[in-house]
Amino acid sequence: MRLFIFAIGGTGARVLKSLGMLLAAGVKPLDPATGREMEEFEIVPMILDPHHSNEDLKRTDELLRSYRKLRRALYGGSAAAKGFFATKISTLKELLSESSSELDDTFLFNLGAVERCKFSEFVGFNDLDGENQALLRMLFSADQLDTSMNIGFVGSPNIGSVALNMFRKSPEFRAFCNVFAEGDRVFFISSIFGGTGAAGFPILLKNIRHAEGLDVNNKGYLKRCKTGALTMLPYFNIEHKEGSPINKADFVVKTRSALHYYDKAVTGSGRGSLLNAIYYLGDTEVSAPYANDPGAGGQKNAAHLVELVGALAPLNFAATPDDDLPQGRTEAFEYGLEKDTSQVNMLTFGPATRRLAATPLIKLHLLSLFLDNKFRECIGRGFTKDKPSIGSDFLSSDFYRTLTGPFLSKYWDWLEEMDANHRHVEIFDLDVASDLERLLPGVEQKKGFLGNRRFTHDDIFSRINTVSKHREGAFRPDQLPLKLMSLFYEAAGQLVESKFSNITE
Amino acid sequence: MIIWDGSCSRQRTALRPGTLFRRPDGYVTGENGSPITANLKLMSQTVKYLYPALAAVLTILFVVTAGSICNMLYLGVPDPEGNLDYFRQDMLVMGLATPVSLLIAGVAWAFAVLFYYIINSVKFDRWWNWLTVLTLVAVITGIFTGHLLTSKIGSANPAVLPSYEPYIRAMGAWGAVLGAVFFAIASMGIRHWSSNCRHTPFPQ
Repeated sequence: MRLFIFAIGGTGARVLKSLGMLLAAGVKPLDPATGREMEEFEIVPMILDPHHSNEDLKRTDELLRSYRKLRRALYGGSAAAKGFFATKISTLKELLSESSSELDDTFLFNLGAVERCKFSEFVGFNDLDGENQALLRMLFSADQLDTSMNIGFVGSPNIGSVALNMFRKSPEFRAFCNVFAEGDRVFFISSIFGGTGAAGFPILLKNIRHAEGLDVNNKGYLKRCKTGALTMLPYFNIEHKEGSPINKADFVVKTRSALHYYDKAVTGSGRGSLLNAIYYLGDTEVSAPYANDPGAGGQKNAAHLVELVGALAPLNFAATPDDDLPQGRTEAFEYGLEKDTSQVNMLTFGPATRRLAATPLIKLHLLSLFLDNKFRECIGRGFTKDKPSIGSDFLSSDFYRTLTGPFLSKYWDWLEEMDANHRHVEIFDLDVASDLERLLPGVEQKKGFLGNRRFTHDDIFSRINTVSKHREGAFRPDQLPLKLMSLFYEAAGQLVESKFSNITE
Repeated sequence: MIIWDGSCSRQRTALRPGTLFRRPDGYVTGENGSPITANLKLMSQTVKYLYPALAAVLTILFVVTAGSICNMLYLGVPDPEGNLDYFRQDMLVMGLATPVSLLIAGVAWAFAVLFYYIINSVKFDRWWNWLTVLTLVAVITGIFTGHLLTSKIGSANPAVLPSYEPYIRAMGAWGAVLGAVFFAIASMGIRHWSSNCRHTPFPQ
């Protein structure tokens, strides 16, 4: 199944980044009937934000590019895989024929004129007659008319709702319609209290649901497809800055008016539901204040727990059977932690979340620590000598450098940012490098032989050796990355099961 | 389209380009289903079982022909009084070659099992760790060979012990050398199934 994700604005980009981390760990939607992972599951993310210098957007784009590069090295073009980076993430261009040159191979949606001019220029203000200009002056303030949209819509969804209508004329939208097939689903991720996300989500949704009025393919599938959305209620705090168009005091007001609009036009009580599922998420706990940056300074917000939880929404949506998402009605979902605490550890999440994500995240973290602290020492020993052997030249391979450089460095930034936030996310003790029995705060490791709880990288190395022994001949000489990742995934899974089995209870 | 795999009796469906072939036991492989690759694997597995068989045969031959080997060993010590022949005769008559050979082989194989299957540790899998064990085997077999000969000859005829002492020491030295040799043979024979030390002292 293919899930098209429209990540709108800065919040969309940050949730997508968290989703990328979960997918890298090997998290996949679980079939609710069997509890098994969905075999063939592909994601096509599209990030919509005219603010291309948005640091959050850049970080997410880089992360997804690294992810795709690593996945290609592991599994090639196959959509079916198991383990780290198992879920295929594709750009729209990849889904089109190779001869298509209309699109760039990117996860960023090209918003064309929106990114290049002021709002007044976009609506042709100077070419309008006096009456129409007066009308626009009533609807938009002078500041709003003068807004350069290349930094987004600076907390003004009324601007975005006009500007983003050009979406339906874009080559990306046409390409999206061309590749959309029966059974594919669409998911939106946006905030409700900003500018780009609050404006973009309903506009995009309407253009997709009412595609029959447009000159595009697969209108029938688009009209009937299952659509879901994650809408983020206010969850972070910002510094007060004199003269800034962004003001925390406006968040709640904007949220209320947007929810009122959604109720009428999106989720159903007015003209009928356009959406099959909506996920509401927010946090009443005041976060550490972020810099008040409307966009010109880069807008780089620290990762937040809510974005991690939000990343579970598209996975839940993908796993929900069609029968549970009937047409014409919107199913609403919320999320609750097991307990309301400022120190969030693995056990703070409910059992369902832990069953889905705990083990894969622990494996990814162990991989990061192992590569950092032990792997070099293992070259020339144990599983690295089983054919095909992994030599020291592997450490300078493109795969290894991308994994340990661009990808895992962002992984650690993500963890550290969430840990530093007011609601500390301490799913791992970030100071632990080698005493792995202390890795999970609040989680007691099972006792081993003679009550021994010691857990080190040597245990991981030993287990990988054992797994490799039983998988002799499973890898070709050109599959060294797959050999490393696959063996580690299986070995780490066995160790997590034996040492932290209480984590999924 | 169905592809008939001649090396096994199962049919496989054609793969889309780029798809990895997933074997029924869940291992992900490349296109390793060809008959040639399967045969190479079979040969590799057969060779793996030859090693312990060969090691066992060599050890059994050593024990069975211990007497002959003993007589051929150069004891390399001064023999002004010509006691060497008496020593060899006493060894033959008392049947000491077999227990000595069993001691050497037993200690060598025991330490091989200890290293590869009981210790079997990533902290002790380097070639110098193996060399340490080999040295230990040599020392132990050397000392115990000497003790065994001393105790057996001494209990039968204590009067000859002073004159046989150089030869017993020389036999002890040979015990050390043969202990090291058979530790190496046992290592090559049984290491393949060790999870952490199968590439010690050198890669398979």
